Amino acid sequence: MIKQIQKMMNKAMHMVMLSCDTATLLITKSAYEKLSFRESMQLKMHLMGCKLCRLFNIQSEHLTHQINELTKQQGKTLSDSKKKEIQEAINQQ
Amino acid sequence: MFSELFKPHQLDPTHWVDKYGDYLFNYTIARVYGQEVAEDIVQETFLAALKAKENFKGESSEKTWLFSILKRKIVDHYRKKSRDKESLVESFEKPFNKEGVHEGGWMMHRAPAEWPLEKMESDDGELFMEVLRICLALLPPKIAASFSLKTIEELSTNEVCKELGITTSNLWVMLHRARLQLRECIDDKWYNN
Repeated sequence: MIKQIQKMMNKAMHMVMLSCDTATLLITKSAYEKLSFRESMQLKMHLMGCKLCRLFNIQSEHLTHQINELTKQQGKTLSDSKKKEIQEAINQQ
Repeated sequence: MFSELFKPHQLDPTHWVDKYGDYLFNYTIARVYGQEVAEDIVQETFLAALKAKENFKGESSEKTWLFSILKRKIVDHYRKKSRDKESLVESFEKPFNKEGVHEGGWMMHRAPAEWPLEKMESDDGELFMEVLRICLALLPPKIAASFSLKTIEELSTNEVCKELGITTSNLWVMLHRARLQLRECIDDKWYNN
């Protein structure tokens, strides 16, 4: 019985509220800016009822973190031959 | 003595490559996903700097000055890239149902699945970074450009829109697509879901 009510609630929520498409758009937006009050409430409500979008949210945050790590990587160097080539191009100017 | 202390910074192009080549290259390679592209950008930076030598006021150090030119070159690179023809890239369909009762809901076979914690924690290895680079390189040019400018260069929304000649809502749509595609690519190539 409770399960059925939950199921109906879920369905109703999806009808009245955001689709997963729109919810993930808002998740994306929230990675860069503060959402408006309305958007943030809508997203919260959606996430309460949607496990898949909760997963997307976690994974999207993880992605942001990993991209930051990528840009912090150190130690990549130019090859000696390329250095020579570039220096020669500079000298010719 | 004071004049010595306040002497403006000087440029010395004959030592640029030795002194700053690796530093500029390391910064670039993390942002443009391709050895040759990164090398070209570094070379262009030095040549552009040489041309603009007269404009160097000596207020900042040589390194800071070169770095500011490099950053401009990287933005230029994304901007040019965003104009590339997209026909060669397989277009990405969003993983949501397009019709029916579940319109706008996840397609079951493409919905997110759990990423096991132990695999997420081993993410910072070189191998994962390689996968991430590959997935970034697979994004269509325009989407890649907007994603990189916003996420990696951390430009403001207005600046990105100006550089790429797009509207704000257009930008969110592209960033949304970028994240959906990246998530799925990593899911596939790293977590083997």
